[in-house]
Amino acid sequence: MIELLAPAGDFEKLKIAYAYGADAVYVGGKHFSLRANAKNFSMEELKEAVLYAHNLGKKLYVTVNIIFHEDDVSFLEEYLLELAKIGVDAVIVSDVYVISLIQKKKIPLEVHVSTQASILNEMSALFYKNMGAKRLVLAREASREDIKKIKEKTNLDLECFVHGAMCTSFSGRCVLSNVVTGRDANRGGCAQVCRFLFDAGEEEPFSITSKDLNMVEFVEEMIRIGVNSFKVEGRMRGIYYIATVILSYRRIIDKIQNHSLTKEDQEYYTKVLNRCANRESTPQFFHKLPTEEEQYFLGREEVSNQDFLGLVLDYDEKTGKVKLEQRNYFKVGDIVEFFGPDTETFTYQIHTIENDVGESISVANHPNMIVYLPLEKPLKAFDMMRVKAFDK
Amino acid sequence: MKNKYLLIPGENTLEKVCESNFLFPLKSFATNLGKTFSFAEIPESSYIYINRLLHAKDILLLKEELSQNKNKIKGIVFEDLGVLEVIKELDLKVEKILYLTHATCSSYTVNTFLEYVDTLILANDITKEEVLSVLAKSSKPIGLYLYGHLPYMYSRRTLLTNFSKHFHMSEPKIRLVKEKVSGKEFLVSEDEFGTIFYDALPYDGRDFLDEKVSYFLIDLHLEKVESMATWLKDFVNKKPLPNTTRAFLDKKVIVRLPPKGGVR
Repeated sequence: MIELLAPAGDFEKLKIAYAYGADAVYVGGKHFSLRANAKNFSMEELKEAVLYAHNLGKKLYVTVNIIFHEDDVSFLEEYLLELAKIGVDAVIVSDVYVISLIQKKKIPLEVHVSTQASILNEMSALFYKNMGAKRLVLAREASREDIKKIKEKTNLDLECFVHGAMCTSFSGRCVLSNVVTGRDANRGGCAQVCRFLFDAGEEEPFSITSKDLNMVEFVEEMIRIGVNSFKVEGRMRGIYYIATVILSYRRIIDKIQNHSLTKEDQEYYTKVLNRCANRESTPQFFHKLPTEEEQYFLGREEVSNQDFLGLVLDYDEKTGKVKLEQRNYFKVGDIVEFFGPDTETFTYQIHTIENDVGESISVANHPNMIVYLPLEKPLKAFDMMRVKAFDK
Repeated sequence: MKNKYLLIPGENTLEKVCESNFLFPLKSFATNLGKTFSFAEIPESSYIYINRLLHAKDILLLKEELSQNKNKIKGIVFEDLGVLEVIKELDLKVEKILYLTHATCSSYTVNTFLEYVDTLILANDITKEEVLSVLAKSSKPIGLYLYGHLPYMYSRRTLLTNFSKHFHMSEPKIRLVKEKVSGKEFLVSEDEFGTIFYDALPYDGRDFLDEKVSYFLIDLHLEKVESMATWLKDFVNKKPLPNTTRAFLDKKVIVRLPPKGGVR
C-alpha cells in the first residue's frame, strides 16, 4: 500500500487535499493536538470529515500528539472513545500514555506513533510495535539505512515526511519555545525559535534555521525500501500550497507506479514545488547529513508567494465562462496557468474579466472578489489559476 | 530508601565520591557531555549514560559493546528507547534508567514507562507543583535532575560548524549565544553527533533535596569543579550558588488547550 498523506488545518483544506489526490488526510481536533494555532476540527466537524473521507474511499487520521502534563489528561479517554465512535481511521500519538490507554481500555483505534517519538532505529521501532502501534512516523533524521532496517525488523507500516518545514532539532527534543517565549512547544504552542536570530558575539548573527524538506528525487527509492505513507507537513499552510504540493507528489507517485517517471518530470515538479513555497526546499537526512547548504543564516529568508491568483468555483458550459474567486491581483493581458486534480496544466492569456454584475473590468484587485473569465476548456470546482512562471 | 546521586563528571573531576555514583557518558553513544569514556576506561559495575538518539548502525555497535562488557555495567541511563530493547535482547542484568529529556511530564506518562524500566529521570519542563504531584503518584521511585545546565534543544545537525563554515570563521565547539529579543543566553555545544543548546546558567533543583527519589542526577560537565566531593558536600548542605536558574519550577508555560469540560 502506498499512501499520499496530506495535512489539513480546516475543512476547506481537507476538501482540497482529497480533491488534489491525497489518499489520507491528518487533522487536529480541538484538543491534544500540536498545532494549537491552526483552526482545527470540532468533534462535529471531525465526524463530518470522517464521512466525507469514507465516501471518497479515503482515510482520516487525527493527531493526539501533545506531551501530557498532569492537568491535561482529564477527558482524554472520553475524547478517544468519541474518536473511535465516529470512525477515524487512526490517531497519531507521541505520548506513550495515550498508546497504553488505548490498549488497556481496548479502544478500537489504530495507533500511529508520531515523528515526535524520534524513531531512528529498528529497536526503538520494536518498542512501539510491542506497545501495539500499527504504523510509525519516522524521525525526519532517519537515513535510508535506518528505514531499511526498521522495515526489515518490524514489517510495520512506515510513514515518512517528504515535504515541508523542518524542525532544526529532532522533533520533540526542543523546548526553546518554552524558554524564550513561554509557549509550550510540545503542547501545541511552538513559537519556532529556531527561526529567530541569536547573537554569538560575531559580526554575523547566529542562525539555525533549516530549509524545508523536499524528497522528490528520492520518492521512488523510498517506495522500494518499504515506506508506505508519504507525508506532507503543513496544517497551517493555505489551500494553494496544499493543492500544489499534493498534486505534484500525486503525479510523481502515479508515474512511479506506472513506470513512467522521468528525470524531466522530477525537475519540473521540483521547480513547481519550490515556486509555491515561501522557503527553499531540499532533501535533508535521507542520503547524507545536512550541512550549511541546508540552512539559512540571516534569519527568516522567506518570500511572500503571490502566485495563487484564483480558485475556480464553477464553470458554465452554456456561457463558456469560469467563475473564479480572486486570491491575488491579476489584470487583462496577464499570462496565467490553470491546473487541477483532473485538469492538465495549461496556459491562458487573460483578454477580458467580468465582475459579478457582468461589467467588464481591467483588473481583479479585491481579495475574494468574484470574477468571470471566458474559457473554451471546461474547468471544475477546486481547479486553480496561478502565475505562469515557466514552461514544462 | 537512601537517595543516590548520579554524577556526570567534568574534564578534571574524576575521583571517588563516597556513596555516589559516577555516570559515565559512553564513548560513541553519548553526545555533548564533555569527556566520554570507553569501557576500557571505566571501573566494574558502573553506570553508563547513552544520551544520543541512535541510528541503525549505532544500534549494531552498541549491541556489540554491551555484549562484550556485561560485567562492567550496573545501570544504563538512556534516551533512545531502542536501548531498552537491546538490553532485553542481550538479557543484560542491569538497572534500566530512562531519561527522556522532554517527554515525561505527567504521572500518567511516567507510570506507563515504569512498566518497562526500573526508574526514570523526570523531565525538567514542568513546575515544582507538577514535580511534586508526579513524585507522589509514581508507581515506583523516580529520579530528578538536580543540578547542571539543562539541555533545551538537541539537533542532529552540526550547527556551530555550519555557521562557522558559512561565514568562514574559526570553529569553537562551545559558544555562548543570546537570543536577540528575549536576551536569553544559551551554551551551544557541538560534536560529531550533533548540537545541544544548554541553558547558560546551571539549574539548581535543591528544592527537592528532601524528597525520596531513586536518583538525583547532577551534571557537572560544563562546570569547573576541582573536587567533586567538596562540591557535593557544599551542595547538599545548601551552600548558596551564584547565578543559577530554576528553569520552569515557578513558570507555567502557555498552552492553547481549550477550556476543560467536554469533547465537543
